Amino acid sequence: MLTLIKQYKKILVVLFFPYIYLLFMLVAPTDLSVTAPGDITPVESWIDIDGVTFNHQFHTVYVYSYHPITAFQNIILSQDNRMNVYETNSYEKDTTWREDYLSGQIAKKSSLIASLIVAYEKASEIDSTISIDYKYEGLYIRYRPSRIKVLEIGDEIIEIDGFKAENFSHQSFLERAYQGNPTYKIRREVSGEYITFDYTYQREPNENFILFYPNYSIIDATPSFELPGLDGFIGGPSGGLLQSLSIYVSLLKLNIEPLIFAGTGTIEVGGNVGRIGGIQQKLYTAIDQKVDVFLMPKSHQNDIKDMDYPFELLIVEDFNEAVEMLNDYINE
Amino acid sequence: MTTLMNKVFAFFRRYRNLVKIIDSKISYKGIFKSVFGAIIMSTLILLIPTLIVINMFIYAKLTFILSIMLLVFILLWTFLYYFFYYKLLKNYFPTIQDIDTRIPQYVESTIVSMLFLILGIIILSTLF
Repeated sequence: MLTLIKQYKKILVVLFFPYIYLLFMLVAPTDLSVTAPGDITPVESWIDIDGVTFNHQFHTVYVYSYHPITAFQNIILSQDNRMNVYETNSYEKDTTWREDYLSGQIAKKSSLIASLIVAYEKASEIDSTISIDYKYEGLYIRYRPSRIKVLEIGDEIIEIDGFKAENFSHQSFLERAYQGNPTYKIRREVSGEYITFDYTYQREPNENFILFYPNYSIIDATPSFELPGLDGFIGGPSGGLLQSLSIYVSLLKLNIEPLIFAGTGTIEVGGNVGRIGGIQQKLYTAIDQKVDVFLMPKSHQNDIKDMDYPFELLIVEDFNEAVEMLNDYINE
Repeated sequence: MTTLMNKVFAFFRRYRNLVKIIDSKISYKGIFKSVFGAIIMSTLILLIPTLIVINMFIYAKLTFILSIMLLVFILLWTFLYYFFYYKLLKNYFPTIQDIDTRIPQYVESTIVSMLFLILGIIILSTLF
């Protein structure tokens, strides 16, 4: 080997520095993150409802979020206006890839449950054989500062300072979670069994807040359902609106015009449609996938005012509004 | 057809004989040094293009093409590896300098790259 190195010494010396420079550019992490256009997923792959054939027209949109990106990626992505390159925030810096994944899965579970509740309740106004019974169980932890080792992503808070979640609305229980130095009763599933313990949270100065997702459980539903899509790699709460619409349309067997519907927006029990991340990248994804109708939350209207898109855009504030707009696409 | 088969068998007999001759003139120490050197050189050459392709995976639309490119790099790596292996072997053992090592080099590269190709196709068909 040394003989070969000696033989090509000059060329190797010339190539050495560019090689090391390129290697550094390709592997060294920066302090930047990116949100990139992704793909659309049919909602029926997430939910099975007994005796119900899912409508194949409704799709959720996902985008890719990476952090940290390399210096090379920063150079090529900065030239592409479809990408959103931004400085990594304190929450992303404080989260491992595994925690990101777990948080995404918790978000998806919480979102699917909320979608089922919203869709069943709305459908039951038209068809009395459809019903759903559910209860509020508290909060899922979706982020906690990494110094708090005792808490894990996905832990459930079922009591705060001795007050049980089931006696509160989600909003008031959430407010209580941030007041003073609360003592949480945590419930955690370990090997199929639940354990509980108390934890008193004292926030340090300038520390990130703990973040939560609502935890509702469905006691009974007619028709019954299963969530086979909960182990997938795509997570997050942004599919809520389209999931709810798809379940609603499928439950009532509505005959929708043969168009591809996609969209984004979180859904809350009660029907409010909330904000999501990466709205522009989601629109680019919808353009790439040639969708016909795109639904999105009203709160993002200003974020896309400079964008051109070839599809019909439906901007909604809550689920009732989305259903009303959908009526225009129903064949009698 | 028979002529073709005879040619193939003759080629493999020649390959086997060449390998026997080479094996009789080299030592384990030299083989280890050649394997080590060939792995390093072939990997260093393909490292940068491979990293560029991996960095490009951020473009969701290109995922399939990039995966195929990675597979091509792996196949290319086997050819580079055997190229450097026999080159180094000739450096360490001047006695095999005059032996035509191209036949063992191509045969072994092809067999190993075919195995990688089958493995790659199985993985790609599972993923996509």
